[in-house]
Amino acid sequence: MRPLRCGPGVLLWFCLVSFGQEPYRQALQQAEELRARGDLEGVVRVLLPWVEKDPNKAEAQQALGLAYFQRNDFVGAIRHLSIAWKLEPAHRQTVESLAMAYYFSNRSAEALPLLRQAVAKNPGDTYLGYALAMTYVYTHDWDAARRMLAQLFDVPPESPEALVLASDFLAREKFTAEAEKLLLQALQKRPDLPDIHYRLALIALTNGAQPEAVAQLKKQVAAHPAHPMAWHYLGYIYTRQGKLEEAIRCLQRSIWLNLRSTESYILIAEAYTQQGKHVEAEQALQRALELAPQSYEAHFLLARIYHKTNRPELAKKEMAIADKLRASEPRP
Amino acid sequence: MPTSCERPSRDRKGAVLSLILSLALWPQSPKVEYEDITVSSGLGRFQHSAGDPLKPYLPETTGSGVALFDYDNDGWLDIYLVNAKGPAALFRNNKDGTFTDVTAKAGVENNRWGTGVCVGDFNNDGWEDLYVTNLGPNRLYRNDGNGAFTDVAEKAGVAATTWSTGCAFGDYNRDGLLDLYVAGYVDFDWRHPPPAGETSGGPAPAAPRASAEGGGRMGAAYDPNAPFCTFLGLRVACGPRGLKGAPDFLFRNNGDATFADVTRAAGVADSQGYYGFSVAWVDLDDDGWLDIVVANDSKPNYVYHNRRNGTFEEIGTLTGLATNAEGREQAYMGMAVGDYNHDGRNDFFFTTFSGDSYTLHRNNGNLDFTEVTEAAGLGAVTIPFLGWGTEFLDYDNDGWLDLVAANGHTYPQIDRLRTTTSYQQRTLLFRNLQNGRFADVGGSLGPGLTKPKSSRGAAVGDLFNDGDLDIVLNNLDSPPTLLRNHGGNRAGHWIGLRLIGDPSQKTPRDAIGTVVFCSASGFRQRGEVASGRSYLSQSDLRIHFGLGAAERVDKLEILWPNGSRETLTLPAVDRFLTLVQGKGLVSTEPRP
Repeated sequence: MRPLRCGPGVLLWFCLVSFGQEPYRQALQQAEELRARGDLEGVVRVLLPWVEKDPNKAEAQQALGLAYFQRNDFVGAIRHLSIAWKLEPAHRQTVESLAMAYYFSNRSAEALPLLRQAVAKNPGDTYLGYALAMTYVYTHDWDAARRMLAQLFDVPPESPEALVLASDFLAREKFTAEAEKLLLQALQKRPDLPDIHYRLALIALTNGAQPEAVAQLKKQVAAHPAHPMAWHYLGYIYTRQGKLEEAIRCLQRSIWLNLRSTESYILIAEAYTQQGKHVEAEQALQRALELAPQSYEAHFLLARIYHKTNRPELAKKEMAIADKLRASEPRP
Repeated sequence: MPTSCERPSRDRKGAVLSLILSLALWPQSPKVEYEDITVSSGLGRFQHSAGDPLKPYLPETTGSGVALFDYDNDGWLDIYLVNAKGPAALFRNNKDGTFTDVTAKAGVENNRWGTGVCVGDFNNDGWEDLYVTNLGPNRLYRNDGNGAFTDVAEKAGVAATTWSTGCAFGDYNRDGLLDLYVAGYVDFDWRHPPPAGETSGGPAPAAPRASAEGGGRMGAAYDPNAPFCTFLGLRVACGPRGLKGAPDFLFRNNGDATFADVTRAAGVADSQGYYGFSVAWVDLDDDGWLDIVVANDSKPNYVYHNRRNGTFEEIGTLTGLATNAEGREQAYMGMAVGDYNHDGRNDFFFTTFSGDSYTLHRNNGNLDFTEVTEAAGLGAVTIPFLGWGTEFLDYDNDGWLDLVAANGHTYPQIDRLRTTTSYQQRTLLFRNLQNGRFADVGGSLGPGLTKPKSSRGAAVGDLFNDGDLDIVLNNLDSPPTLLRNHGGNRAGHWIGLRLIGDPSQKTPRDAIGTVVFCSASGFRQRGEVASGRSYLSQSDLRIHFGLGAAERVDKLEILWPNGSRETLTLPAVDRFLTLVQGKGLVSTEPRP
């Protein structure tokens, strides 16, 4: 190497560059301190002027993107992280944060390659692994979703358990046809899988196929009569169909099997109400409210019973409680 | 999977499958057929238009209404079709199965972003007037009695300037003058709209994701932190959830061609800012005073009970009419009112979003309702459909009210998903099985009902004065559909009643609010003269009773809005009868 010739001109240039870098470094340092204190607005306030002056400042873009991400502002996060990623494609935190920002923005196509990259580098990160599994679901890659979910839950990917697991996630996301297929495959592999008819029943119920749901629930309780939720859903369907005697019989069984089943108490109260047995209904609701004082459904139904039995003041008071609880429920 | 205390989501079921089932299961239905005569009738010249075909904004999705009313007092129903981006149209009935466009002469083009329509003779001059709601100022078209109308909305004080939807005339204070209730939907400003959904010529759509807000049972919610709104991963129009609601209005008729805005004073001020769609004046507890029901999109319905002193009390959730059986709101669109089970009380049917069933609420009396959707057989079959206009109608004249529902999805993009719902949908017709249950028979009543459409407004009436009920649909971005009933008048006997009230006895001249009970064949039917209802639409103000095999009516009981009652016997059936308050039957006209 040739020795560096340090003439006065070079020195001046070096000093100017160093002088210019110093405030930027200080800003990054300050932003990091603000972030550590939870002052994400402060991070934006400090760093935004730097990237507006020079968008190629990768560290500032990355820190800004992270601040937006932590504020759940995924539009802002994507805006800055995508620039940071172009500047430093291998930066681990940038890749992970950008992947998750796309994931939370429902932009599955853009999230997928980044999540794959992130999970490959961090195979033990379940947070990223879950996001990747769900992104496979959203992009209809059922096999990849099943494999990833199996990995997350430590079951062999070809096992009936993995099929059931994947089915549960697909059903949750309304891919009921595919979810049902997986359950039927699992059933073929192991006919005595627990809860399989119950799961098939819930899918049928989701699809509005009540006769099929009833048939599956009957199979479930025949194989496993001590299944409170199977009895509960039988009671649910019968209540909706106006078959109130059958409904009450099923719901009583559900309650005997699970004395803390708030939902069965509420449903049996509804069946009693439809029969005009308001005393029995009220008693069931009082029990439900002992178990779950914040139950909107129980307060709602109790208010309706007070209304039906011409107790207007009690009805209004009870409905006010129900309305308050309803308003405090998380928005769908 | 549903968690233990949730109602399992009533998700989509095969629309095609339901059609096949309806075809297979009900070949024995009476030989009634609905023929689509849109083109031959001349109604096909009307073209509804609502902006970008990909519907990036909410107003482009909600469509417009239709009114069937006799504007020229010739005894034949005419048709008024509201339009969004184009001019509305009035078609005069030529009495020969065809209609003539008389819009220009009548001066009812509207030429605003039109939504709803309702009919009432607000000035008791014997000529039906027209109220047209808009995104923007509404119109009150006063019928001048010479084939022309004059917009007097500003002068009358009923223009409103927000986004109005459903409307209905009714005399809530029993002074013989029709008052007016107007529902408000969303506070929408074209200059500052929420983020656009996908637009024609815009970027390619992203891959859909099937996880939706509200389980897909309601439209896409607006989130100020999101760049755009999504439904099942599709980029679509925002709202109504997340957007500010537009106010409702109650206008009291002053009797001097003006109205007073009494919304707040009467206690119907839409305090929650809900997204109102359909309106019905209806006497819920049969105390002789009209109550109000407002169907709200994605929110509980309002039920305003008339306190008989000019004010109302909102009691929706207590009655069981505001939500489904579990106390959960739905995306209520259209509303049908009728006594389907012959117990003398008005029951309610609501159309809702896809992925959720429409709901039937049985009236138990004493302001108490029970949702009986599943027990009535209306649950699973309606889940794939997204419904709008709906009416009870006795299409086969058997004396039992059937149901019609006009359908079509909000989002054109829905066809890209592998689901069992679709953008265009067939019209549902449910036959009353006379045992509390209904059966989908639309598939067996001719191709007019089975052709998929993007329907919104729907109105029912005997357009051809032949004794059976026809249906008109206002379809989004398309010509309307006129479905002519063939055979209803052979399937059963009938009567049609035109009622004329006496304003000097404090009854509106067009008798809106009058209840009639018709006893024949051993049972008693209820009918009403009603303004509004359905979805943004107006059905025939005449009352139609199917009589089945009965060749006589045993008794006709008339409850006029002023509280007076009359009981009549009828000389014959299969005809229209005109009844004047205090004078009885003044004319009978056998069918042509």
